[in-house]
Amino acid sequence: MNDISREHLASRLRAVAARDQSALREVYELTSAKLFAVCLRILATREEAEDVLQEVYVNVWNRAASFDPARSSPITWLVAIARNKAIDRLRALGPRASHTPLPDDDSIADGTMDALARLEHGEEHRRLRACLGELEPRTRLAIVGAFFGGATYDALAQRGNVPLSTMKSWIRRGLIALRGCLER
Amino acid sequence: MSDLPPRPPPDDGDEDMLAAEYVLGVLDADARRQAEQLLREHPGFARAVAAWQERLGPLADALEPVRPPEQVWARIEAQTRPGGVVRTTRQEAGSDFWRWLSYGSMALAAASLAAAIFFAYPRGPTPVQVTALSSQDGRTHFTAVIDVAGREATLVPQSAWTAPGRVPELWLVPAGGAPVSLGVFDPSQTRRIAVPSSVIDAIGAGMTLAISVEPPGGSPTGQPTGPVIATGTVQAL
Repeated sequence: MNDISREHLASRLRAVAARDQSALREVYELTSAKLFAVCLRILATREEAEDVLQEVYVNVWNRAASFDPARSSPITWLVAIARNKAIDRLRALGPRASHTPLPDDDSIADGTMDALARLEHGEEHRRLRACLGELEPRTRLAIVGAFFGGATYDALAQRGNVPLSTMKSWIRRGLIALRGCLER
Repeated sequence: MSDLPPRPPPDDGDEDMLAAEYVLGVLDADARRQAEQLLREHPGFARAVAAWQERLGPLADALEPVRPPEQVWARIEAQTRPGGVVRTTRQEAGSDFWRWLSYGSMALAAASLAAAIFFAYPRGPTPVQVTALSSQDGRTHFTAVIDVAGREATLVPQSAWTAPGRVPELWLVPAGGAPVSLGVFDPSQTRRIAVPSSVIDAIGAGMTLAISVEPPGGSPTGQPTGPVIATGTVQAL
């Protein structure tokens, strides 16, 4: 999202904070497809993703005043709300969530690779792409897969067939490396 | 609203890693709750979380966007309508009801819309639920007292009816189903309404109580035809 639309979205959020429901509608029109995709990756069913998406925008309606443009860009603020609500729902569903079989490591890897390829071909986020590129492939996959799926360390370790401590160590080292690279 | 013991802030290195893990989404439910408590109590941690959200957030651009179905906006609109608070999700009402609800409210734009404040408490030997149906300016228009055991809903008007030539009709909307009429009533008097057993049985799944504005004698079609001016949720105790 370029600077013009960043400012536009920020101004719409200010209007939402002032109880302008048509501004909420506009925020929804601009961002719901992205946030729905985020929810769909985390939750097992479309129905759950729809429910969470509804919660997200009601939350935006109630919390728009807490958006701080100095601290966040509007879209990452929205993505964070969506991811938090979806992950909370995933955690709450607990064992029920695994009534559908967990995707195996290969299909998650494919999905993640496709997504990374999409990121590669975009114009934006050059620095993030470059920094992800500096990671070892399995670390990159673990981090990006974790971001998209919202699975716990435990689930990731089981899925990747490695000890928990190994998975934690991969991801933590990857996060430290990312932070160092992004701050350069 | 924290029931966890206060947690000292972790040292800087640990704090930043915890923030990263929270944002990445790898923490289990307990650890998430603790991180959220930290978020509320420690501004440094909140700043660390915001920074990681900015670092990792752009990954969401790698996902192919997916348009959500129309009824999602209809439900959001119903829940965020100024003065209208309807605390239900898709599971508690059929999707047709939600479309109808949002159209009804637009038709009634200028008139007062109702907010539903739901609370339930056991009173004496028979538990009842009380739903206050009030408008944008905070005035309660009806109070519904639902006696599940006695299979009755009592509607108590709290203010003057403002739709001349029209009457209110009460509906119960079971989860995933179509509205069931409980009849029209005189908006100037307390009215006790019998609730059919089949409807009572369905309450376990949660339902919505609604009042629409209808021509005298009630809806000619068996489904709401006029705008909905009040809603509330009924839940199993």
